[in-house]
Amino acid sequence: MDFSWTPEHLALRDSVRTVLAETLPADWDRIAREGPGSAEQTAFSREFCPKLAARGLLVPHWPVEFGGRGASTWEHFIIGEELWAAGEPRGPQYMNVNWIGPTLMRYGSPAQQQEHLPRIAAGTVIWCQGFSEPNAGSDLASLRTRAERVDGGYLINGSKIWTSYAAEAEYCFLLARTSADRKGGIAIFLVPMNSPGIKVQQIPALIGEGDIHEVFFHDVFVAEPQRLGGEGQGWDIITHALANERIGIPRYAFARRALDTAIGLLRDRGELDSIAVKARAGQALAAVEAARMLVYGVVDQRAKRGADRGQGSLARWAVVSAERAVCEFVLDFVPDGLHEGAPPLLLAHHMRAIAAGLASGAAEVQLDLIARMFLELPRERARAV
Amino acid sequence: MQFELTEEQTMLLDALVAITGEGAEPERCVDRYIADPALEEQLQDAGFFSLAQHGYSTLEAVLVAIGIGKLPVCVEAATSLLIGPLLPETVRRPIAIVRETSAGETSVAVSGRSGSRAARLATRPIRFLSGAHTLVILADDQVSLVELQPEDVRACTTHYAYPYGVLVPAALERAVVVDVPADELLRRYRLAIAAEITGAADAALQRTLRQVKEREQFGKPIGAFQAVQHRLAMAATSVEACRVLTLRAADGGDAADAAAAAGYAQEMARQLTFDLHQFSGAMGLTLEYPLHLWTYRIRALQAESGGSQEQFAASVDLAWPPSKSRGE
Ligand SMILES: Cc1cc2nc3c(=O)[nH]c(=O)nc-3n(C[C@H](O)[C@H](O)[C@H](O)COP(=O)(O)OP(=O)(O)OC[C@H]3O[C@@H](n4cnc5c(N)ncnc54)[C@H](O)[C@@H]3O)c2cc1C
Repeated sequence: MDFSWTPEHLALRDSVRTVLAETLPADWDRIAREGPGSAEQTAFSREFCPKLAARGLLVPHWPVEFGGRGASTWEHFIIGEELWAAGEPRGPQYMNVNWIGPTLMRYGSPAQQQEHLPRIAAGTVIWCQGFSEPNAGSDLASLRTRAERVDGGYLINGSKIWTSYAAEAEYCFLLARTSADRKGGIAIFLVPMNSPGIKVQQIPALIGEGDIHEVFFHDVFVAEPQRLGGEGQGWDIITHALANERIGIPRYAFARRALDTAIGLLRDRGELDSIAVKARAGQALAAVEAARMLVYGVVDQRAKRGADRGQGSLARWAVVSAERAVCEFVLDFVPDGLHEGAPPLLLAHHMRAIAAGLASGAAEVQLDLIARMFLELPRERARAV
Repeated sequence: MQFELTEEQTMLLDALVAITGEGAEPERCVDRYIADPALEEQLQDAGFFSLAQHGYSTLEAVLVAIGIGKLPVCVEAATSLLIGPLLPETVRRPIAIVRETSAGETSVAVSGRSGSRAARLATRPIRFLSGAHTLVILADDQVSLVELQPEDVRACTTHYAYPYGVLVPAALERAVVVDVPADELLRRYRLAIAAEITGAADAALQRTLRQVKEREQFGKPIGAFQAVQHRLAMAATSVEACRVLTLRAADGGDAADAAAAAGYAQEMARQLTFDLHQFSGAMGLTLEYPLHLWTYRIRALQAESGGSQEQFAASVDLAWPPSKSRGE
């Protein structure tokens, strides 16, 4: 047990911070306010990611044959943590490098790999993830979007919702149904977003601009070679792909920056002296650090190829709690943080934090997983499988 | 960043379990706490209260304090393990500690600060004082010790699962100031609180899990109900968070981390003790069911050194030192 960083890891952090210092514009906090999906931040990512790629910091964890250098799990994680803390200048592309690329490496055909991986590794392509539907949220396997076989491929009909980045994306990693079999009837399609028959509509929301959309598919033709894996393999593939993502994004790192900002503001205003304010600030700090340490534990486990017995879900619940603690601290003690004129970071954090318990799956489902995997408690009732 | 125990740490904890057993429950417990002088002597002889003298680190001391905190028997270990190394070698355990904060501070560590020192220190029962050989008095910038004689302490019955005693005012006349940095002692005191809560909370949670898996109502184990599962899942998350915050604070030596770990532990105590008793039903209110052996230690520790508010507030002063963050 040793909670210090190696000199290599410290140097890596420094090099990411150097890139950030050299490349982020003066008004970056304003650009990053809306979150990774806004048009402005996405456009910025198309400049920023190639620079990261040039310095070997975009896909270092990928194998050499796909443009990486086989860097360790920790190296990949440290880069992601620094970038998320900075407001995520990779925009939506964090998703590409974290799991879309690796999933294509594992399940894609050589042609699919050749088509997609170089562009992801160069940092010039945006993807979106078409899973959720109006009637398939937490119960994702109940999705209904159909993929009907036609000559040379499939016709897709249906709709997706809450699709992040859809308006800016060139491709969609789409789940659709090829048969009625609940999980065995799901397939994955790599769909160009400029295919005829796709309509994207942004959903006005409390979270950042450009984050969530509805995507409608009307007789969209997808050629057979654009199917990833076999027809019945979709569920298994995403289960594997998302297992890689089980702790999600290092949200606590941005939460910590929001807390730093709020504390600095309160102190300047002479409003940090009361024990009540300090106690709540300390509570938020402890929640953030708890989340950080539980996430680190999962990264360490992953680096050692250990089995997840629910620790990933524990970490996610801790992350949700940390987001909530900081969000509520700001609402209680820096209420003007949500007004015009406040440091943009506070609203940026608020808009990210309120989605923490939902984006990448409802937190209550994580609690179910903790109960089952970590505490080994019995199921309440037989669930549909 | 390495979360696995080293071989040496594993051996240390194995050696501990070889003495304590896996924490088997007492066959009959009708007392508020269980003392086990024989076990304590064995631990003492094996050097478990003086790890620092044997070259073990603070992290290892915390691992052992957590392990001893899990036991159903009540042993003064965390203070000896963590604060002991700062004190003169002649000091004998068990060690009791009390924190005395000066008036006018924003601190809530000790209420009723006005009046004489004797009035502040010699009216309130102190944990482990009954049976202790040494009392550590931690003031804001000064540490003093009292070598206790039997006549210095009035035993005190209590609902908590620790021996408590009240100091006889005359004993304060023998208090000697020692050359120990108060801030370092406070940091270690916080580690001791966090470690002891972590161990007790872990054991209390494990005992409750066993109960909700065994006890059936409505034709199924009560642990199958989602309402119960979710609160236990949150409890497990906080216990694991508490453990890792405490270990990290022990390893890194950062004072803000220690305050955060203790604050987290003390805050967690409220929801945790409520939920674990709730899920144990009426059985959880009896003395024969062992849950109270841990929860009434946790409930005592919850207020120690000023409670979670005090530690959290301190963590803010330590993490964002006033001069540095101005103008941020
Ligand atoms: C910011 C954001 C971005 C997103 N981006 C994408 C994206 O890019 N692509 C995509 O496909 N999806 C995306 N989603 C959708 C996300 O995956 C879903 O919101 C999530 O799976 C929950 O589904 P739902 O919103 O339909 O909630 P519901 O399933 O309707 O659940 C609502 C609430 O009911 C409770 N609940 C549900 N099931 C259970 C249960 N089994 N036990 C106990 N309580 C339960 C929970 O409290 C839950 O929060 C995004 C969501 C957000 C907020």
